[in-house]
Amino acid sequence: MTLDLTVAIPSHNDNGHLTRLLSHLAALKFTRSIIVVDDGSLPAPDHDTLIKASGLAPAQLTLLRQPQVAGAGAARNRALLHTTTKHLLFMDADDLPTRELRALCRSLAQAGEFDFCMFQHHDSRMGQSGQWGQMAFDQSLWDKTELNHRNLSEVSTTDAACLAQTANYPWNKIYRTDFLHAHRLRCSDTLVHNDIALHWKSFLRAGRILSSARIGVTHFVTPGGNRLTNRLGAERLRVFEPLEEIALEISVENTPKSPYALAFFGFALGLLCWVNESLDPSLRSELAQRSTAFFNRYLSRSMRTQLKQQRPDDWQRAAKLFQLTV
Amino acid sequence: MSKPAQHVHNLAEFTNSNQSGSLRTTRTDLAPGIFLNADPKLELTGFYSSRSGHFLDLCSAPSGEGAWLGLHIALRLPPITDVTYIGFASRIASDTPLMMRACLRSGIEGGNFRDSFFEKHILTDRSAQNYLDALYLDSVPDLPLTSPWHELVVFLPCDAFEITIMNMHIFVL
Repeated sequence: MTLDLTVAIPSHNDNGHLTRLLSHLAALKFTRSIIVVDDGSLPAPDHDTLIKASGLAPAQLTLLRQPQVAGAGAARNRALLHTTTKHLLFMDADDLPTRELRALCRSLAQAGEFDFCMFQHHDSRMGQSGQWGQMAFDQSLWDKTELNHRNLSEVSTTDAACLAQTANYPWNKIYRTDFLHAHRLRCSDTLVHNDIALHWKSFLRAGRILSSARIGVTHFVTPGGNRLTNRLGAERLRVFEPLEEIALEISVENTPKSPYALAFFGFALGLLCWVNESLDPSLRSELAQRSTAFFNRYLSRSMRTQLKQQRPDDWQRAAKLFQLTV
Repeated sequence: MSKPAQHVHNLAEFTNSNQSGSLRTTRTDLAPGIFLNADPKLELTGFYSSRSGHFLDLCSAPSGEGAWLGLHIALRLPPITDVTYIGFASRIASDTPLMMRACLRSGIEGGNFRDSFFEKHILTDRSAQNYLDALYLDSVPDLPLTSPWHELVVFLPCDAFEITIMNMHIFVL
């Protein structure tokens, strides 16, 4: 018994890695369906070539195309509309699945209904020092929970608020497709930061979250490459679109979503400091103004005090950059 | 755990055999699927012996300077997607302290290959040492999932040495 799963892959000018991923999926045999959404690649990949190179069965692969580059978020949203299986996993074209992911899928098939399951991953930067696993920041958040050594576990709200602060990756979660549809959960249509809304809203809306310490995906990071991750221009300022959406939903006090407030605004502090460091210098004053307005709009005095106590480094940096006071 | 004989069909036969010979400059076949491969620039000379019950004694005396000398053991593996660990255990002694490394070599299309190195170095001395290491295949993302062939390669020193490999066991889990 295994999971009824689709793997959805946005791809932009990355046919080599895409073929490698499809070959791994063909060999590991844990997914019923694969949807590739090509995001304006030139040349565009074609179905027959991918099938021949990967060893997939022709009916297993659906190839969709966005003729104009619209970003990975739009591509993932398109894939979601075409998903017919009960569960869905987004992967990047240069990710690789592990045998542990196949084992996790077997476990999840017998785990009853869940909205999503978050699992651990290997970041290629860790491999440079001979280690296998997540970056220290993400791992430290797992380590604050009791989930970091368990094959499969229910996630409490307290632990979920902790895991929600990890990097907002879409490819470390297996979703129930109807959960995404029922709550209209989507990626943002922005070229960058398109994963923030999906990530946080998933936590906010989920009823039953599972987690697994198994390392399901290897994620490759190439600093300085031409990936969207490495864009440093004005598109980065669209980070406020998902942040505003989530802040609005989360800042209403004394609701079931309240436990996430401190986690989210702590995450936002760290994220906006990171954006500031990596942003084109000419855009930094605009970022500072908008960040100041964002935090002044949503952070109560008690929240500021708690953030200052719980995330002193992020608070200190953000307070200096964005003129925040308690 | 599968029996080692399933994965290296000549390893036990070779260990139980009685044979010896001179090392050739480039390739010395010890048994089908078990051979030494040397950089021609080493101008390798020397000899080997395998007495019944012992895996291999090697005396290497290169007269040139080269980049590699490897002991290759061809593997017959089940589908690699169904394998979690590949490893080997060995007991080794040498006349002088040596440091070596080993890898799983995977053939890839076009006649090339990819090496996945075992983490631990093989350290030897006059008193025999045990060595045990395994690759956890999920932690080797570059390992091809479909390969026409695999070998265990132990990279031996490119200087003169004498080494006694008392036993060699390969396991696939």
